[in-house]
Amino acid sequence: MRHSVAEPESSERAGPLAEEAVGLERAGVTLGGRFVWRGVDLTVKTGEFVAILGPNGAGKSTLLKALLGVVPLAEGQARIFGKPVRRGNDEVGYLPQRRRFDPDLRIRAVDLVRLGLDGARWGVPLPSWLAGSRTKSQQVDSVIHMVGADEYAHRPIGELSGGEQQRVLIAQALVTGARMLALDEPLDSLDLSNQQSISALVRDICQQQGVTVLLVAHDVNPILPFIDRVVYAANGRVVSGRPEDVIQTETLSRLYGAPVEVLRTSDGRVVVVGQHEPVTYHTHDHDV
Amino acid sequence: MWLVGVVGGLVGLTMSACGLGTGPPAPGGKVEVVAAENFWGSIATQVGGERAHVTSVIANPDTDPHDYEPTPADARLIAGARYVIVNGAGYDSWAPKLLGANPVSGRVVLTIGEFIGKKEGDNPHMWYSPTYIERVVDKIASDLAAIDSGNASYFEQQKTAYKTSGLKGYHDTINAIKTKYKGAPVGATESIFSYMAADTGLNLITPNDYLKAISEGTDPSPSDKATVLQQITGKKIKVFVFNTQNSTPDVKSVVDKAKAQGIPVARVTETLSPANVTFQDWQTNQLKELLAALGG
Amino acid sequence: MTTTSDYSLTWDLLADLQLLLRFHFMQNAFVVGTLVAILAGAVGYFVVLRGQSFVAHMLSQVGFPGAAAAVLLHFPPVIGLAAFCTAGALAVGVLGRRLDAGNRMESAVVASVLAFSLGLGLLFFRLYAGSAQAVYAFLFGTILGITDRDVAVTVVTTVVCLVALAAIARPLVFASVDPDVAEARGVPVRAISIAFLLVAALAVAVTVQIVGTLLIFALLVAPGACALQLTASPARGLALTVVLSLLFTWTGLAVAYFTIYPVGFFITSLAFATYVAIRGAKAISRTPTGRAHTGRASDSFGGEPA
Repeated sequence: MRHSVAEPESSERAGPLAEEAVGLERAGVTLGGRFVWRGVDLTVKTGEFVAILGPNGAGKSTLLKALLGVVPLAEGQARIFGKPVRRGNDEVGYLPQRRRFDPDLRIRAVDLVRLGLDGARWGVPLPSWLAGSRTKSQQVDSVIHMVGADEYAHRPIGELSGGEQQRVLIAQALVTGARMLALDEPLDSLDLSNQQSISALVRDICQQQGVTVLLVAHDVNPILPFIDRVVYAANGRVVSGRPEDVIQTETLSRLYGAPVEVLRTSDGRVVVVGQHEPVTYHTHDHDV
Repeated sequence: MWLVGVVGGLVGLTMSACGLGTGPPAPGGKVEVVAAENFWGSIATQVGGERAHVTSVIANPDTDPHDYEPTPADARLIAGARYVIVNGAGYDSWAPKLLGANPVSGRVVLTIGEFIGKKEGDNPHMWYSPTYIERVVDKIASDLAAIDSGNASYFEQQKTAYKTSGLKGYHDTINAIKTKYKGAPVGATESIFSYMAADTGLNLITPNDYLKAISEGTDPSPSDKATVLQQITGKKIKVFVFNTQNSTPDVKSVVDKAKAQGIPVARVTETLSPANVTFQDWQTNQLKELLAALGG
Repeated sequence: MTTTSDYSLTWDLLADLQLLLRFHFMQNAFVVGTLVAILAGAVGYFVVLRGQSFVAHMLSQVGFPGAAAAVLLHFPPVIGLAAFCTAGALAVGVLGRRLDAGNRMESAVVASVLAFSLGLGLLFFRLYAGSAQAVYAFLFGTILGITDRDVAVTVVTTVVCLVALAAIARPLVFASVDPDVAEARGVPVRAISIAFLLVAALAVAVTVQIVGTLLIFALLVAPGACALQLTASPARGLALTVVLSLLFTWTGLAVAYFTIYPVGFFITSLAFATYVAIRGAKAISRTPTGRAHTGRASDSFGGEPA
């Protein structure tokens, strides 16, 4: 929970009306004929850092994919920045749940970021001495700088460490000037120090660039200091709440259906214990 | 950009190279003759005599003509020839390709298959038919005469000499077989012997599909194989003719069975063997071996 | 009159080059060789990037039963060849995994398609009354027997395929290296994968008759494999693949011309030797293009700190 001025729980802010970043109304998604979740009403404000929690299979990834337009709604409406959700929206940057890149994949980090910018356009990129392309190269360089990946940007992506790859992928997600980042378990396969540094990077991007962050987390601890709101998916429903309401022993235990404890450390930090399920290697069925 | 330059350079070189020319030599010299196979080449050598220079592409007895892959040297040879003799009938399809890749004005091509009237799918072993040999000798002589009309009478003389004396032993042996053993049942490993069987009056009872399959390098049907083996074990054939240049372990085992049954095996080869022997000597030696196997 | 001994390499390179290109059949061989090298190089870069070398192998062989079937039905063999190449490409594209290229399921599909088609080839051979030789010729090609018509056909095919590749180049790279995000960004990943396979099928169907199955497969895989060892930049990788492909082909043709050994042998040997040399050089030098760098060991699933 943030130690800065707490956000009022009402939807108004003291100041100009905050724009709605995400709006879901009576939304529902089916998979194989069954509803994953339905009747979902959800609002996320611009610039909020939102954690999406819940047990496996509850539909956290599906929520992200619905907002990205990859999975269609069976019911209800979904809006991003006031406009209907569509695929290939440059305003939303996406980091899917992923295995590592194949170590033998021969493409550079900087190329991967550039693909995030214009990889979906037909044809070949114009040579860099044409004016338009220079701007694009500059865009790529600046976003790489933003995530601190300058040193290894020209190395093959397969050779980078997990933390380095994540930074590059965040750059790829942001290069189009995205105002929202949708990250699906980005800290999953990282060690502790990388978890902390990536979380801090995302927090910085959120605060300094005003980017709305939706982050699906398996373990909420690394981002606990930064989140404005918690969205949790369970039992066919998706609800949001303030961190201080949701991050409670009772609530979380009910949510996960397993014993979870919320503890305070001696220096006042909040830590959630017991929410780890046995380490799973996420098998990716790309049709989900 | 640089790619254009390289291609341009290549084109330029080609232009300069073209000036060297590859046309046929001036009249007064020998006619450059190239035969795809040395059995036709040998005939052309004897008909052409001193007025022709004959080279054969397939001249090594170890070379299997069925899956022959031409080398750049072969392509050069054919590109420089005035008269090219090709077997045709699907036997040497590599040869028309070399001809097509290097068109030369004034070049004469004799495709034996076309001349005799055999197409792909028919039995291509026309050099094992004395009837066809006679026609081909005439044709080669007339082609050479047309190319080098100044020496037309010379070629005519060569042709007559070859037919009357060169091929005499060949025809005599064939007649000997026909006289003594007309109608005798024989077997063979492949269709190379079919024309010769007909012209010597022998009764070739091996199933036709079997002969064809072995010749083409495909598998015969199990029932045909069974028939062949029955003919051997039942001693229904007097002689088994074996093409030693087109043999697989399977064929070899059939030949061994014939030997085990006491059936004489007469050997033939696909191309001249040894390589430096003449067409008529090669054929006559084989026919004599066949005659001896039949019983003399 | 020139004899075979006149056709040996001398130190006068210009004279050698003139000798090399003296005959029309060699000029044709070089023109077609150049076009095929460029086409196979361009397609081959993506083949290796996507890990689809096995698909390239399948494409180079799957056409022959089609050719045999066509002959059986009294059609020109090239029609059957092209039909089977296309069908093979579609089968892999449709039955393979939706987003990933070059994975286990795809290998199984490729193997099954190839086995099935070779079995069909066996059947058609049995039914066909003609010589196996014509189809053997397909296997090895006839680089020395290329007619002017063959040249024209190759020019058209190369242009069509290169234009098609250029049109899908960017989304193809995206779909090849990052299919999930590409899909999310609106790239029709499956459609692009199938389109790529169809371009490859067309390229192979036309060129395999000319250069043979061995050579087209070698040129589809080896130059790309070499180039991708040396660079991870798509632009440089593609250019280097084409350059290497041309180098192997020209050198192979030239060396084969002055010796008695087959063209295919020289091209494939040169390609393989180059690949081994590059791998060897990298292993010895362990430069930044190798794997030594910080922090890798720490990022295991167990999450042990560095």
